[in-house]
Amino acid sequence: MADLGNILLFFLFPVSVFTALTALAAGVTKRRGLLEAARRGAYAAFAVTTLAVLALEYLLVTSDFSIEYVASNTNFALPMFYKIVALWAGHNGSLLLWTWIVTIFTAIVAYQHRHKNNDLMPYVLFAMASNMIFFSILSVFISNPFQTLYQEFGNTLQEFTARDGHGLNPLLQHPAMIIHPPVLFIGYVGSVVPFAFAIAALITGKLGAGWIHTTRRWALTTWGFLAVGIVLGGKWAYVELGWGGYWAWDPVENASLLPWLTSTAYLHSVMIQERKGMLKVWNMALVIATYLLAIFGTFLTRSGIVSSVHAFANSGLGPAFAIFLGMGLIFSVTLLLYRRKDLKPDEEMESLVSRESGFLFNNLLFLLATIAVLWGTMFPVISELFTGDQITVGPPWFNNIMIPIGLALLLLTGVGPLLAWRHTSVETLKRSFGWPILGSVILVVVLLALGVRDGWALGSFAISFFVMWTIVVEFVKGANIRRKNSSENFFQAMYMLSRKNTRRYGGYLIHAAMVVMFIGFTGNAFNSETRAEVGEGDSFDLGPYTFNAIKITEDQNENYSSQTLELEMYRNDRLIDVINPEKRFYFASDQPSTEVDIYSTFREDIYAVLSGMSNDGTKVIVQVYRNPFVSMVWIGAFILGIGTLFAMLPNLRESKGGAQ
Amino acid sequence: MSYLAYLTGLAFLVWIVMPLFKKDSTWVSLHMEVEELAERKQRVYGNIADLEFDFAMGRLSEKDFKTIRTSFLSEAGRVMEKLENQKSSKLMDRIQNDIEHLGKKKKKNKKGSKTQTAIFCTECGAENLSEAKFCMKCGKGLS
Repeated sequence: MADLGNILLFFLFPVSVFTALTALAAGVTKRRGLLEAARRGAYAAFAVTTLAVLALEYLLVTSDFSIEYVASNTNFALPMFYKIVALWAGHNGSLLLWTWIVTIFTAIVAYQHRHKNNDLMPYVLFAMASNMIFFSILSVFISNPFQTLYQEFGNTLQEFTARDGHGLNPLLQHPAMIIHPPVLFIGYVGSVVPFAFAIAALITGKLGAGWIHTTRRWALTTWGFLAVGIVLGGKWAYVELGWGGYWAWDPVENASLLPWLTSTAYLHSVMIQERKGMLKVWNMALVIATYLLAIFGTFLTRSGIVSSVHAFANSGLGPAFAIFLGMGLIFSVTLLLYRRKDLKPDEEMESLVSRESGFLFNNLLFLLATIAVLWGTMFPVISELFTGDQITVGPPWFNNIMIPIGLALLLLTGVGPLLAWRHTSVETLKRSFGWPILGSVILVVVLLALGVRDGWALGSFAISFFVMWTIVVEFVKGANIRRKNSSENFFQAMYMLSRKNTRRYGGYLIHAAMVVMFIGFTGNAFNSETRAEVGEGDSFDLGPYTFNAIKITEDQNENYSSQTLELEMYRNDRLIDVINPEKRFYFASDQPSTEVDIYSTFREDIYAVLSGMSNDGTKVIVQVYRNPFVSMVWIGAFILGIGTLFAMLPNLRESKGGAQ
Repeated sequence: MSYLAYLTGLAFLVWIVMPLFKKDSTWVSLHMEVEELAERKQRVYGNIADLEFDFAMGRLSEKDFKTIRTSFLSEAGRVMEKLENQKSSKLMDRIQNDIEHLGKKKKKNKKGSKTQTAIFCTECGAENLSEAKFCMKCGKGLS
């Protein structure tokens, strides 16, 4: 089976080259036959890679420990579920997953456009096939998942089969494992589609809004997957890493945030191009930057240049990625410079107080955020170049910069949609903003009276309140206007209103989701924690809560041994819950792991970690965190997903006789 | 078993390269100017729809609304005129048709025939574009 996998993977390289070359030739000669051949090449690449993935799955499921990847990432005792998802647990396997998603997307794009966009398609396929070539080279020659195990016998290397595997990294043994990596990868890889169309538009000179319309759904899908993938990663870190938080500005987290920032900027600035024919170069640059940052993120996690909790250390892929990234950058920037004269704006900015200037400001902030995160992430490398030491900038540095930028962006989500295109008069502004501003001021006074003193938190709550107000007013006002002119009731009117412009109202939903998430982020300002050494019968306090240690139990199965603390949680002498933080020790990988227990409500999470034994071995050390509003982050992400799906629905069209 | 695999692989390979040996035809690039005009038309319609919406939601004063509307209307007029000129050529007509129906073949039947006629406001009698949701003169909702 490993041989078959190897052969299949090996075929991917010539098939990708064939696709790229025929596509390029089709673009030059405009011959249908060539384009059809390129299309079939894309289907073939997909088929071959799918079979290779199945072959690797077969090896994982049957625990074939003659294969290095299988032996390093699974063991006999590993539950079947984790054997299957071990496909993306290790470096080589996850690279195969990347490759697979690239081929899936290429095949889908080839099929979607089989009867249209003949001018663009050759170059789209060429750009996507170039990616396939790169990843097939990596998968076959540099990090092949079908590599067999070798051992030295005397002076010769011989194949051998391990008696058992090393097992899956305990941190990865969590249900989120099934969903987080693929979701994030789809988000990363998806950026290649708008990129390919942008490149095709640049090459052919068909620089109108055509490529933008064609890739709108792809851009939005990618964006949504990236957002949800990032939050899932946060959730995973929260429940699995056991340090009480969900975001630490780790290089790998930042790597996923970077393309999200640029693609969010793009989703906004593209509207200026659609309405005013402006920012054409900028939009191209954002699409290109999103793609390059997605590749850069993969490079960052796999090259080992920046140390991180979950980076794959020094895997030798660094140079290959650096070359590919460099080539991509030079190629796209050259194309952009070559076409810059054709990308002149059709109109000029008319007023500083208008929707378009709101979007511009939004883009400026996103650009700042991207540069800040990139700088902070790369600072260890930059500092090493100049001083010889790796100096890491910590979360406080990121928070100092990103909190103001984030709040300014949040404020814009409230202000922007209320500005009219072209020109907004001051009178109307007063009318739109008067009440929500007054409401926010009252909220701040109330919060101050309640004893909230953190300036950023007050600002964040005030802005959240303001934005939520404006969003609700948008829906209600729109529905009321519609209702006046039709026979619909309020809810019908609201439904029809939003279905007639899914992009606008899906966008508002996403804005509301961001508000909810920001309330969750702001909760961080009020976190508290305590650490206690407890034996059975001991108790300790955190805020209004009292915890009683009831029992410490030890257990063992074939995968791991464990120690569990049973902790009763009281508030005002009333038993609220019994939580069971656990510490495990995995045999195969010889690694410990903490299983936190979380009591979660809308208002706050009580998060308990069993850190270990006290020095004398008679007591256990337990760390309890009280984290307000954390669940808002997950709820917000859920709303964001719904909003993204809604924005992708086609607009409902009404017959002329119907309600208007 | 392995023979079968080889044969499938070979058949697949033949299928991929087959189009290369077919008697070939080439495609003609769509005329850029018509495409550009169609895009401008779409943009101006979108702008008018947005303007009406913004006005209805009370985001701009009546004075601004009227000034901007006038400029959009004259642009729409210019674009339509140019499009008409282009359309006079039969070939261009066909291409234009191609553009408008690109990838919309399936949806076409559902919508039925839709003619681009003006509609009139019941309140003030002003002429409006058929897509208009609100009257451009008095702001009344159109049905």
